[in-house]
Amino acid sequence: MVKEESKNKAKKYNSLIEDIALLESYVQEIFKFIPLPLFFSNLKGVILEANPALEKITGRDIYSLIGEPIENIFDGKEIKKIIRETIQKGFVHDKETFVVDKDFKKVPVSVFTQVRKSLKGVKTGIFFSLINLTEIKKKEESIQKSSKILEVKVAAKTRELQKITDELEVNIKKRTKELEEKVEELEKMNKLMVGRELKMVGLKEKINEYEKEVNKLKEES
Amino acid sequence: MSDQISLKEISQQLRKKEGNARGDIILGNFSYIRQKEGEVGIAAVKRKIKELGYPINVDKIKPLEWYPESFSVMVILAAKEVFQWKDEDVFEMGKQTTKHSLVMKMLIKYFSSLEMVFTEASKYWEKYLDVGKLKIIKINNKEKFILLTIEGYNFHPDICLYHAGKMLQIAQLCLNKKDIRIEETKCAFKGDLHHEYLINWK
Repeated sequence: MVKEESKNKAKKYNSLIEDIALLESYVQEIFKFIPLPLFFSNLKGVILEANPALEKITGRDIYSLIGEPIENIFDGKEIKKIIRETIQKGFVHDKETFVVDKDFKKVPVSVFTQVRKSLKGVKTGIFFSLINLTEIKKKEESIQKSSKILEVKVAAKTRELQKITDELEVNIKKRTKELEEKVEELEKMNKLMVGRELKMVGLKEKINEYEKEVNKLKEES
Repeated sequence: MSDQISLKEISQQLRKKEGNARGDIILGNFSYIRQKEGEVGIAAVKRKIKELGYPINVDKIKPLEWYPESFSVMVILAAKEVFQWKDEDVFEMGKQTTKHSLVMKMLIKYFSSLEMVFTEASKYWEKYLDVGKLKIIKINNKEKFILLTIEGYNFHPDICLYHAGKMLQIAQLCLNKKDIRIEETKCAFKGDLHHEYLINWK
């Protein structure tokens, strides 16, 4: 009876160990697969656990990352602020800073944190997750560059158009003046012509009068 | 050649000792060898282990299964011989393998105090090794030291260095201080009843 009981206990124990091993490998696979750099630090800011994505972004292997103070792989001032805020608030979302890789190259990242607590509610450490902003920053820079180029091109075109407008205005003024002069000349001509016409009419009237007088004299004689 | 015979002799003596370790400890050692010496190094240690007559297939080791502690010790000794490591390298192996192990993941939430972490570490010792005991003898935060003992564990003197590396690493991770030292003040291989380690920091 006792033997049977201990056999059952051993069976249950082995089955639990198998389940734990399966769960452990499941967690490990997810941890390794996730492309986002993830790590855990104690409240003093010492890295205690990290995933391969953090190895990739920092260019350091897991053995050199674990045990490293966080400020050695980040912009020290900013990350200390993030740790303080996390301990105070319990989390921090989307804070921009940069990771310093093993060749001292700065990699822009967005940081997300979350305090980890024990079952009794005591703060035991901080989870960190990073989003690599390198590509986004490159795109931003490229858009800014394109926008500047566009601004320069628009300004050049505007200047060109202004020049054309100014030239046109000068031409229009010149042509208007010429036209005004011609109109004036025409007016003068017109006045002259009208005067001549009136004189002609007067002369015709005088001729008519003289003709009438001639005819009258002819009749009298 | 004489070294090889010597290692074989050591292996034969170790196999008589009782005690088991979880596969995670052995896997951690292989993972460190891979990182330090590459796949070629792993192959060389596997060859050496095979030469020594261990019937364990390294590729099939599971983290939570029990394996003879003598095998776990032989992996370290074989690596030391194959790569001609010095004592400092064995110490470093102990340090580095602590960083990346299952026990570390379990202990992670206790790294806010040295007393807490070593109290838990002594519990995890029993969960991961069914031989020997890790005990805190004294901790004095004011005078900045902790005294620990390992009792009932006497496999090989090199493992004293390996364990010293592990304990120093735990203290370093917990205290975030660089100036931390460890000294084996008593050793069962030097006639003492147990191993005693003194860790102090500034």
